[in-house]
Amino acid sequence: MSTQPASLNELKQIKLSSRDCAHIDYHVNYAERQLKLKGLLDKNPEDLSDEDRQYNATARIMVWSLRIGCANPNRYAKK
Amino acid sequence: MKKLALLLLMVAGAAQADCYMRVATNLTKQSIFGQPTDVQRLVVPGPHGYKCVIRYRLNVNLDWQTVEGVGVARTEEQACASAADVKRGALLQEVSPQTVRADQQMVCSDLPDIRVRPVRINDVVWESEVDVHTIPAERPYFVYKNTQCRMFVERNTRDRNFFTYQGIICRQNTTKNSKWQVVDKY
Repeated sequence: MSTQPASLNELKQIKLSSRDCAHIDYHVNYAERQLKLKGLLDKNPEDLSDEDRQYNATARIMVWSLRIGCANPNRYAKK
Repeated sequence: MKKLALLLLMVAGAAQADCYMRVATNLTKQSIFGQPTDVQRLVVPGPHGYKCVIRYRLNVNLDWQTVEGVGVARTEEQACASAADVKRGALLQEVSPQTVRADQQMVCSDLPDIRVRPVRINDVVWESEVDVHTIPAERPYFVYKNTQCRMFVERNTRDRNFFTYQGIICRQNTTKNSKWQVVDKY
């Protein structure tokens, strides 16, 4: 397990879809581990530098896309 | 002299309470997002039964508005059911001296004044203290850990820069009018 956080570009390259719901814990843990390594866990965005805010938002969007999308599969379905 | 003292008392009371103009309006279903929320109710007995005043927040065209409904009936339940009818609600608009007209009705109240404000992770808030999401697909409520939640956006300025944050609020418990907790913001 790496002790260096992934770069912002590496995070941005991760593409998630409903297929990843089968491994939601793995992906959420991965994103939260990166935030922890960066010292960003549970930080409010207004307390962060622009660079950290962007990193934080990218990782948290990953986490919440999975949490919301996987538990509510019809949410983003085309009507 | 008595009249002057009464007037002074009324002015003092109004200075402490928040005052609004009551504006009768027809709210269309299309302009409303979600259901009435952050409901506060006041019931007083009257000569014909009960008078129920219900004040709630309604999201109209993506703006939170305070709406007040009044119902009078023989029972408390009937009075409050009538007061809760959105079609009969009146918008409460903040008073500004320039817009006060003699034919308008002003209401003052000690009920908590709820308005959109910046929030932080773990804050406990009324639902209408945070805006609904700007992206329609992100507006519906969702379930997370068996709790009703929704996304919100917060517009903020820092060092003359404009930021839009988003976040998640979830109900504190399963009661209908519970407060909400900010579980994340980014």
